Amino acid sequence: MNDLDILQQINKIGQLLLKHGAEIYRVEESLKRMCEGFGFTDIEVFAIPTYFTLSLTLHDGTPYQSSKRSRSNRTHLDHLYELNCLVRQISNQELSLEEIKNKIQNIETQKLNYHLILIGYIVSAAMFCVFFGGHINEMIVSAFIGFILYYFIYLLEKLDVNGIVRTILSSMVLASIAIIAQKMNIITNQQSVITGTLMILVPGIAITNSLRDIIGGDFVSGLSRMIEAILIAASIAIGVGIMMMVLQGV
Amino acid sequence: MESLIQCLAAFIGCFGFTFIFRIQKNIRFSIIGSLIGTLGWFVYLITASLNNIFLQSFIAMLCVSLLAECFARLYKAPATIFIVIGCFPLVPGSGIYYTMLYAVQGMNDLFMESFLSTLGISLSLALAILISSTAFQIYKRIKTNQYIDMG
Repeated sequence: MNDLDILQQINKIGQLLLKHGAEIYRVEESLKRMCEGFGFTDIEVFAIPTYFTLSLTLHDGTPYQSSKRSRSNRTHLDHLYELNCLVRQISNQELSLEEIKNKIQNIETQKLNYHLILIGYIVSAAMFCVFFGGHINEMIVSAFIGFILYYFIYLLEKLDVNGIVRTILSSMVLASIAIIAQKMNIITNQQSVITGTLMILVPGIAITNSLRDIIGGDFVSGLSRMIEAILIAASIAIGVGIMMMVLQGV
Repeated sequence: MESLIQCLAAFIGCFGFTFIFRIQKNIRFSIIGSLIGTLGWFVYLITASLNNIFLQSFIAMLCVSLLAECFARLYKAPATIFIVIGCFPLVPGSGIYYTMLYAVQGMNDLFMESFLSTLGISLSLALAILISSTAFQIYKRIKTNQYIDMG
C-alpha cells in the first residue's frame, strides 16, 4: 500500500468529519487512531471547527504534513455515524485501501432526499406549536410557516448569505406571518406559533458541540462555537423583535 | 390530558427534527432520539413540584444526556446525535419570545426577568451536558485503565 494514497483518504475523512458536525476531539482522535493503525509515527493533529493540520513521519522516515480547510459545514448526522464506523474499522485494520476508497465515495455521493427534509420542517414546526399550547388553527399556520421557511432558507443558502443575516431574515419571515395571521383573526395564540416555528432556527448543534469541545479541553473551538450559538440566538430574538415592533401598530 | 398532548407533540416534533438534521437511513436513531427528548419533557413535568424551572431543566437535561451517552455506547454512535435531538423540548424557545415581546413593549422589569430566566435555563442545560459527559469520560478512563501519567 502506498503511504500517500492512504493519507489522502485519511485527510478526506477528517474533512468530512469536520463538515458534518463532529466534535473537535472526535476529529483529532479519529485521525490519530487511523494513522496509528497504519503504523505511522510522530503523529500530531490539531483541529478547529473549519480547519485541521496533520503531521507525521512516513514508514521510510520522511516527514509528512498536510492541512485541510472545510468552510461550508452543515450537520449531517447520518454521515457522522457512518464516518464514525468507518474510522473504527480503519483503526482496527479491517479494510483495504480499495474498500476505504469505495466507502468514502459511497458517503460522498449519497443522494439526500430533500422531500424528507421539507417534511421535517413542516412536521416539527406544527408539532412544536402544539407543544407550546397551539390548537388546530395555530398548527396549520405553523405548518405553513415551516413550508415557507424551508424554501426561504434554501434560497438564502443558495445565495450563500452568511448565517447571522440568514437567521435574522428567517425569523423576520416567521414572525411577520404569525403576526399577520393574528391580525387577520386566523389564530388567537400568536405566542405558540412564533415559539414553535423559531425552534427550527435554534442552534442546537452549536450549543451541544461547543460544550463537548470545552469538556474535551479544546477551548478555542468551544468558545468559537459558543459565540456562534449566542449570535444565532441573538439574531433570532432581533428578527422576531423587529417584526413585532414594525407590525405592532398595523 | 394537556401533558399527554405535549409529550406526543414533543415526540413527533423531535422526529421531524431528525429529518432536518439529515437522519434518513438510521431511523432507529431518530426514534430513540425522539423518545429521549419526550422522556426529558416528561421528567420536566413530573418534577414540577420542585417549583424551580432551573432545577427542573437541569434534572431533565441530565436524564436526557445520560441516556444519550448510554445509547451512544450501546450503538457505538456519537452521543451528539441523541443529545442534539433530545434537547429540543427543553430549549427555552418561549423565553426568547417573551424576552423580545417585553423588550418591544418597553416593559423593562419583565424584560429583565424573562431574559435572566432564559439565560438561567440555558446555563442549567449546559451544566447538565457538562456533568454527564464528564462522568462518562471518567467512567471510560477507569474502565480502560487509561490514567494520565502525572510525571
